[in-house]
Amino acid sequence: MLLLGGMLCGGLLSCKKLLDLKPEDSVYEAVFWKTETDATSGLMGAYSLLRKSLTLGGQGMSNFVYGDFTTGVLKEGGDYALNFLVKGDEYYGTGISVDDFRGDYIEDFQNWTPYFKTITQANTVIEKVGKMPDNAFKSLAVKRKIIGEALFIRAYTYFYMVRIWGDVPLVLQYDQDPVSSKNVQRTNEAVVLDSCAADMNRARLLMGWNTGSDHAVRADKGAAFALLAHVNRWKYFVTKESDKTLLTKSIAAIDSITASGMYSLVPAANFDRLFKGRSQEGIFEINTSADQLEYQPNGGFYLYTLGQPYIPEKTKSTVFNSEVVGWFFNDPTDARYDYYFDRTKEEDLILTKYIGKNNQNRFFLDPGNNRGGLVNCNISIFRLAEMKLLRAECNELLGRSSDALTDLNDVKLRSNLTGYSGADLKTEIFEETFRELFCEGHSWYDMVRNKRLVEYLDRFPQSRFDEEGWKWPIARSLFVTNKDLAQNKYWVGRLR
Amino acid sequence: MKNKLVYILTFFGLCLIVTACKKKDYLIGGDLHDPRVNMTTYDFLKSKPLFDTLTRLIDKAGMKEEINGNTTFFAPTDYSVAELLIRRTRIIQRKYNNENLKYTLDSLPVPELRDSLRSHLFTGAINRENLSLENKVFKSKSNEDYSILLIETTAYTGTVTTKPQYLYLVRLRNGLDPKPLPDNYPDADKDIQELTQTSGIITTNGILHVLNNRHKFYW
Repeated sequence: MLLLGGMLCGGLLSCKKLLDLKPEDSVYEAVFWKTETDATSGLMGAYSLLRKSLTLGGQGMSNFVYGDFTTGVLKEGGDYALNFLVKGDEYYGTGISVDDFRGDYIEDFQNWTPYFKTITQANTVIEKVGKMPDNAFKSLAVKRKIIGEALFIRAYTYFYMVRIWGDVPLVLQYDQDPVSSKNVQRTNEAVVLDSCAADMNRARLLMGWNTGSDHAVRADKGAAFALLAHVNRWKYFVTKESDKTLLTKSIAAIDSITASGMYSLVPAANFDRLFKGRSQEGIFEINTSADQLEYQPNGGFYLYTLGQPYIPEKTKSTVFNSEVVGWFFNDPTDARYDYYFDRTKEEDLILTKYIGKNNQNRFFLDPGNNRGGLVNCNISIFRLAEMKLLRAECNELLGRSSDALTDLNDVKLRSNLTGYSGADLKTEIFEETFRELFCEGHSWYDMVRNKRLVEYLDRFPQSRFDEEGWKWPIARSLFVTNKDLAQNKYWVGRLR
Repeated sequence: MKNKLVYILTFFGLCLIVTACKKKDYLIGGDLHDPRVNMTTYDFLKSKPLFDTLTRLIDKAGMKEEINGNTTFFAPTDYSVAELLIRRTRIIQRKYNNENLKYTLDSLPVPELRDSLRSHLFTGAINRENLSLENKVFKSKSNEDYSILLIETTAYTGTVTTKPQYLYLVRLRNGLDPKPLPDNYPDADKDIQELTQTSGIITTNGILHVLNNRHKFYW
């Protein structure tokens, strides 16, 4: 009995000092957000979540699943779930082309949770860094830059979601008490886009132009202008093309990019360096550079679409639709005709755009044995050629053909083509955009906002476009936790 | 009483362990794989629905005897033939600007058909045991050069010491591709590599390999 009493006393007294110690290395609110390193780490967390949200799904390539698998350029998706996007409802033969976005195992791509994780992190950075004293940073510019970048990540993620789902819940505040947070209804897409534009108008004043190792891989003034241009163009589309001032805003943002003199088109002879990333043309990219040991070992679009002989011992499972590719790439003098594809088998083209025709961007995890081949390229989000084509598109919509032609021809001349002289400038700009940004995660959105889906995609009837069937359905699992959500109208009653 | 029960149960348990795995057949799962089919190449093709169009073409070309000689045949499947017809249909529709035109099996000229079938046909038995991971050049019955080789793959396997090897038929274009391939080697000169989906079927007269469904018939 005495012994037991002694043990109890010991238990009460002995650990006192130990318990009073602060946990080493742990991150919690009371000790974090004190130094510049903390702020940068928080921001890098947001970048990391952004990259994760663009590389979701079994094959780690959601950016290309949304942007390219849906566009009809593939004939064989090489994966049971992805084949719903590639072949529609061929599996069922029902003749109703609605089984693409709702196919089996597609639900991963209907779920916006990963994007809200990014937004939560960005909101936290904006709030916490904003409240940190200025003298915690080397200079005020550093603090402003971090907030600007967090604003960019938040706005880009919202813009990304709006293009996929339309209306989304809009959360712009840091949530102190996530446990008791309330359900939020979806906000109208135009309002979400306004918020993105407001964020970018604020962010572009907070950030400068990046040079050196941060160029293109961390958001800067150029990235803010590029996003601003896209946001305005998309808003013009979703507001039924009623407000032409949105187009002029879009053009003005791109003018700021070209006038800065920070960017230039990479010559066709150096396409490998353009697609590797951080070139003079890159405006914003997701960093997946092997030079910094950041790569996707078993997935990612670049590797997924390749096989022998580019990646030894790997059998390619995707097949491009040569006929559709041929609609866009029909001029052999075009530098991209040759560089983007290995045409050894005309019926089964290999996409060499990223790995390079001479394997310039290939590297091996085991170089001695040529094993573990990977593609060392960043994921391009915005680049100069893309901006020029967007400006051409906006100028054409405003009826300024000569301005549109200048930008269009800049891009064409880079690929050794001659200037355009035909009558259908609108279609030519669209097709040039499709060519230039082939398999860069853009094509689907280009088809949507230019209202070309019905014309270029067999399985997309006009009625579906009119009902906004280009929007993705919202995953059913999201309704379980948020009963205030409403499904996109085209998908009501259509989800299996 | 309780102890006894435990002993009895243990005894039964031991009996079960000792006797349970007796039937060794269960572990092997029937018989060993036998690559021999007791049929000629033509009869074997005829017996599989995947080749019914191909056998019609062989009949049309009058090449049954030739295929049933001492040969190795790389059989294209019906999918390859169907693709050929679709491709030709597209060409003639565009040429004559008439979308009602259809290219059918009957439209295929016989001499061309013979040549094409012979470009899949080799004299003698060519099977895995005569092949290696390096290119080995053979002359087809159409008098063109082909390389037949094995290539290791990592597909469907984890960490294994011996990798599976796929059998490939390679059509040479402007000679064998140099190794390693020089920079900017023209696509038109790159050899066409075709994977076999089934290899090493031993018929009564020779060897039969089956090309993958995406193979372009007529090369």
